[in-house]
Amino acid sequence: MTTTAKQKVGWGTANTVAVVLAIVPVLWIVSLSFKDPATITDASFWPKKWTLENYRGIFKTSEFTHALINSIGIALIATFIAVVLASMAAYAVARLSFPGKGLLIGMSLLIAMFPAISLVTPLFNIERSLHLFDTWPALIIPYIAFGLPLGIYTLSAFFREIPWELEKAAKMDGATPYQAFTKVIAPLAAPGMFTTAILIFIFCWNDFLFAISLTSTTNARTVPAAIGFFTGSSQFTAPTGSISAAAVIITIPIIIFVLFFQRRIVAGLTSGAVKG
Amino acid sequence: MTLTSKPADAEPTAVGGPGATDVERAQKRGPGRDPDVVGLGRGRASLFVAPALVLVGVFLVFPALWTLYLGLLDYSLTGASAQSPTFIGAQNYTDALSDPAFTKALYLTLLYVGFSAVIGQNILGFLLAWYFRTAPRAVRTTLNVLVLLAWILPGSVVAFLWQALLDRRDGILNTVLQTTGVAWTNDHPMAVIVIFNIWRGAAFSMLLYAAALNTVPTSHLEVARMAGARPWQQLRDVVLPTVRRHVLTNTLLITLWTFNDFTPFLLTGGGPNHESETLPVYIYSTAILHGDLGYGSAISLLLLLANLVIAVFYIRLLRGGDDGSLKAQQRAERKARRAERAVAT
Repeated sequence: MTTTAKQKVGWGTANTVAVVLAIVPVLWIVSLSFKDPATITDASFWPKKWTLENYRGIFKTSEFTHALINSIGIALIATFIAVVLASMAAYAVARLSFPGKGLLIGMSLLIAMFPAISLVTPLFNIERSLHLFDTWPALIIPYIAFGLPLGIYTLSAFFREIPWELEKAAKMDGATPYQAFTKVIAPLAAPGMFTTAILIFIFCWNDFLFAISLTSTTNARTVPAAIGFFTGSSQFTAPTGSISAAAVIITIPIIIFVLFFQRRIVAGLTSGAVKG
Repeated sequence: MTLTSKPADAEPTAVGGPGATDVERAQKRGPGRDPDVVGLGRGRASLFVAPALVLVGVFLVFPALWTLYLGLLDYSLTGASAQSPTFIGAQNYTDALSDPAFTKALYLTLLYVGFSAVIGQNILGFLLAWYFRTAPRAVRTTLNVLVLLAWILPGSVVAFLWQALLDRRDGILNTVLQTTGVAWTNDHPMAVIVIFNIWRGAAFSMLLYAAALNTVPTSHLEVARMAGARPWQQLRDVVLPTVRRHVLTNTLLITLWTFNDFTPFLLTGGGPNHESETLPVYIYSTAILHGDLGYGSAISLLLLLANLVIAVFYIRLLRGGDDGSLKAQQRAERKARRAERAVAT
């Protein structure tokens, strides 16, 4: 089937419309973030006077810088631990059949769907009694716990695709199961682990509910939560400009992720659901 | 893979150590699929799974159980009951069921889930996947990136974006539609969060359906087309029976996500006057904002139960399709139709 000129024009138009619809609000935020606080409500699409004041404003106090460091640190640590633990568990689940295995996978998927809001109160209590409240682990631990079931589910789909003859060969060459896993399987499963890592990272990076419920100061508050506490670059201005600037900064890594790893993310999201 | 192994098979014998038993077991089993193909051994496998299980157990399952317990207490963050919560039995639960705010929140949640996820995201996602299936690669990639962004961007950023769009004073929507001074989030809060969630979540359905549509054999479509089937006939007779399982899986996932979605709070705050207060928002305002932890926990547990009911319902539908008569019947019909067409051409 060849595409006709008419079809080409049609797709071109559809594409342009889609791009414009999706890009306009994003550009609007970018534009707002560069507007002078005095002209922020003038409803013109482009700033009449470009200024970096909003960006300077949010970095002037330590509030936003802290939040940014918290966001990056917490998301990276949680993602790393979750992927390591999920890989180990998923490997065992994919390579060993045991009674109730289907149930275990089903349960883990169901647990991954737990309403986060239902667990906020008990987690709040647990963390206060363990003196974890408002620290990095206060967020890292629930993020790992929530990332694990989904990670195990996606990763076991990836592991099942790797032929098990590979481990058999490794064993014949005298490798222990541990060596077979780290030297043979883990490198092959790297794309899957990477995909899982991206998904978990995005979950941690975007979380709002835990971030506002399990922190109370800038000690561990991440950017999505910190945005809610913005007061503007000076005390008397509406925080629109600052929020825009913060939104642009927190969005950039996500856009880069999506642009570079679009196919990986799609594969990770659909592999479990479509094959499982 | 069938689960025929008895637990006794896998117990390592006292002699020989784990390595020897692996080999023994593999030999004893003979040809056919060994349940433990790589000689991982039960003990080591447990070690591999243990850390994940412990974390999930302590920080997901245990809190869920604790929710059940807290729901039985008269427990607040402040005041007298903060010091010594008293056990009040099922009173919180009975209170919730007769609490008009709760039933209203439940009703709004059902509306929200039904319109935005089951109908909106499902249909929009499927249509996008269906129409862009034959699009040039560049178009598909661009579309993928755009809808993924809507799904993946932080909720607080996206909500702010929509506020900028819908704002009464200087929102773009009022400028474009020339409807000066319409406060969208105030006048039509439910419509706003429903449309917002369709826009936000269509990405996942689209991606899943795009992957599912790839599994439809092109030859079947070809045959149907040659037999003169219209696009919607192809869709109904060839595509839908094939992707039925995916439709159910997708609907299950988006239903649960939307059911537990907290983002409406960022857009409308549950207001005005609780007009858009879905269950998660109601729980948040009860437990965290008003500090009524006991009552909040009771509603949380009801939310969890609702999740379980939905999941079981969908899983039964999925199972039913596998060995039920419906699918077999459809398959037979399809085969007959295909045969007829083959004869006709």
